[in-house]
Amino acid sequence: MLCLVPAVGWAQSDHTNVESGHPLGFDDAYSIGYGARSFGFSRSFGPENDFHVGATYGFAKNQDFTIGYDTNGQELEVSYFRGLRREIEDHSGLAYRVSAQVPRNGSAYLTVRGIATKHLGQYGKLHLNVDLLLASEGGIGITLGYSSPIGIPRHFDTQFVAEVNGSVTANQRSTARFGVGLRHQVNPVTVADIGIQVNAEETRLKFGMSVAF
Amino acid sequence: MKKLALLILIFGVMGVVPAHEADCPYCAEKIVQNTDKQDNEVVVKVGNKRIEYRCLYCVIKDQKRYKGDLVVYAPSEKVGNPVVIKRTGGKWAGPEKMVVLNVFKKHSECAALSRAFSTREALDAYVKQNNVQNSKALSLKEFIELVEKPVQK
Amino acid sequence: MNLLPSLVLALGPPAWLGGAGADHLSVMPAVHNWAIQRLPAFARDMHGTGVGHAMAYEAMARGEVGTLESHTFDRIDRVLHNPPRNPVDEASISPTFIRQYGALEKVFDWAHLLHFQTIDVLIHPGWSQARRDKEIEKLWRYYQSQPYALTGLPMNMEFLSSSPYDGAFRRAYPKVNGLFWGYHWLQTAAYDMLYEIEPRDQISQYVVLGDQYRRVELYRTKRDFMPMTAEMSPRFSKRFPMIANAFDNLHMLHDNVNDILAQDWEKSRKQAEVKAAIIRVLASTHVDEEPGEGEGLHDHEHVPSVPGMGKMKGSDGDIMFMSGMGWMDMSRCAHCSIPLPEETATVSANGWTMVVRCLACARDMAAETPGQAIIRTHIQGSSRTLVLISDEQGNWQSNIQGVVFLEQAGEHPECADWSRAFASSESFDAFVRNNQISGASPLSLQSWSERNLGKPPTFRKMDRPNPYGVKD
Repeated sequence: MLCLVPAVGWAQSDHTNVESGHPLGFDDAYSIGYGARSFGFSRSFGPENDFHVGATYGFAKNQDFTIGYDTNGQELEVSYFRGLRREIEDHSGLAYRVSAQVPRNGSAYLTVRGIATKHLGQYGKLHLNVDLLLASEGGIGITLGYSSPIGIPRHFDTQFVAEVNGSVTANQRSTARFGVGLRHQVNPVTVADIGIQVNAEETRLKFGMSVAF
Repeated sequence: MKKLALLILIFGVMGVVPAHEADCPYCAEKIVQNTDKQDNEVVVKVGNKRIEYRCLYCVIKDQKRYKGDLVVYAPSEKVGNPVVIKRTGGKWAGPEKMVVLNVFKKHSECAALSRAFSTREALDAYVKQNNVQNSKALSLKEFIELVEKPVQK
Repeated sequence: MNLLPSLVLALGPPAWLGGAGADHLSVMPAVHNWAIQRLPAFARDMHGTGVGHAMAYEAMARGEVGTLESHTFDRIDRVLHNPPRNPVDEASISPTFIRQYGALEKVFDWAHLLHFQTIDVLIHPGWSQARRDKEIEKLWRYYQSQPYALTGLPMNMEFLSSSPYDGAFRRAYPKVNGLFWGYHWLQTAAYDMLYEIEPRDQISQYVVLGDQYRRVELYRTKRDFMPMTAEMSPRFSKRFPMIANAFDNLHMLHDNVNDILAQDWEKSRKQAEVKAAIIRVLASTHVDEEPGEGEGLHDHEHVPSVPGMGKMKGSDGDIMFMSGMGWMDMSRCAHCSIPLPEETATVSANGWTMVVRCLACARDMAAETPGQAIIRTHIQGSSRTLVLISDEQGNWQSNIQGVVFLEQAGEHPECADWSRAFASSESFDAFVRNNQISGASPLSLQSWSERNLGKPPTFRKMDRPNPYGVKD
């Protein structure tokens, strides 16, 4: 498994609203809109090919709920996201996500992710994600994500994303990961994403799509 | 007979002058309305439309807006008897003896000082009666050349 | 005396104004969402308005007001000439502005969603008009369910624009203000282009309106006042006055905010003034108030025959000043000055839309105006709204093939009887027979186009000074 704490957040249909899994592993501090519903899938190619599907529902302001399924690990994934504060003046936007992954065989994972988002320059944003793996084994992961629109002031439909991640588990197994990707608004309700994630063991190519409905 | 047909045409058109005392499409000043003693409204007939302008200068300045042929009914010295000039195939033509006065400095004066007359004598009489300074009787060709020159400020 | 600040202080701010949440909201889930994309040119222009708003606000929030009329204008103009295919996330274009004025963005976003979804309902194919009307009412309720909703009551526009800083933005930045009012022209003119018009008849109208928007309306720098929804879309506003009012209140809020941001004040003062401007027009500020009543900030008097338009500067009953047209009596035909009947026609040309009594009035009014024109009216013998579009020479085309006209010119007080359109010769014959009209023969579209009845003797021009003191 590439990511120590694969928090799920599946289906933002706005390309500027960065979500874990599409295509990289970090979140921004903003939930899906209240009342919004979306569906997403993600295919990744590496030593193991994964296929994730999931749906997200913004059931309250600044809160959403996601349910998903990973065909490779045969895991059921559920996630709750809560935005605590938007970015105001010089203060970061803050949020957290609680995710549980329940594989068909083996122990469940429970992850809590703290998220901070802050602008870097006029348009770029830094996203700090701190993951605590609470079960079945302990661990900590830190991801520093970056997102920035591409094409302003002429084009407004593509977002560049990048990440650096490091994690360590209770049994001292550590990993480091680097990734870059793009999120592109295909139409008013659809975002396509593409990315590549690299660590010492593998390189993974990812494609995905999120659709509001 | 020809004269009668022209009169019918002119009166026919002048009978359907626009209703609304709108602003001039070119200079945006108010259109000066006709009075019992003097016509003031310049009417441009383009297809089925009849557009009012404040003066002849504004018509020529704004002519590129219109494709196709134009007929302009420019108020003359006689009430109800306009000078009719036409743009046909891009070329302007008017009555042989017509002359144009064009001496306004600001558009607030254009209705009074950019006008057509059926004869030179009529222009002279108007100039005298209204005490117009620096007047000059321009042929239609001279007038159009003058208007189409870039404005020098 | 300016009473605005004291009134607003007395009201007290709603709690959400100080809230820290992003509070992103979604469109109401519906099958019609993003139907606007079916009219690609219109959709792109509408998406472009979002970019224009955001770029100007970002420049102001970053203290770059000095670039507004030059660099920022050029950047916006470039986008407006090549607008985006998809809706834009304004927050990503104006991040500095959002960090400083997040509450305002909530109000703007929420109202913009209402704008878009109402348009979607009107474009979505296959629905009856009754179903569309019902869905728009549902949208309105959905919109009003959030605290960011603007009031649908008519507001006294003169009062809302009575602050000491009013007009600062348009005086200092006329080109960018022209763009703002151009966007608002497009947004308000769109509704009558779409309302009660079958989707197949909407695109042809946007050829005319889109050209007017891109070529003229964006670059008008000397409008007297912002475009009002009921001026630009009288048919839609008559049916949905609360939505027309909400859009006008939204656009007035834009104007107020522009004026505030143009001031040389500390940011904290600007933020406080923006909050006060928001509170003035929120629905929650005007709970249990009624149209036609109240005073000052709570003055919901409207032009009597136009419930979708708040009281305007200098207005006196139905008489009001309309930018580009002068003083008009809104209860009377714009062409012949006779009181309007229940069934009317509208004529749009040169950026304005006027309500007239009959098709002869509509045609002749269009004939006085340079450029293309659009007439819309209900028609005898068809449930389809008649849409007539003229070229620059006054040659009309109809969306209904075989349309014929009755025009037996008589006196204008009866013009709505003697000038009518019919979907077919059969419906013409039936009308003539039933109403025992002798000697009437149907006019073809071409014959009708060539007619012109001239100046109605009943027309009365109101000659009063421009209350805004602006000369276009």
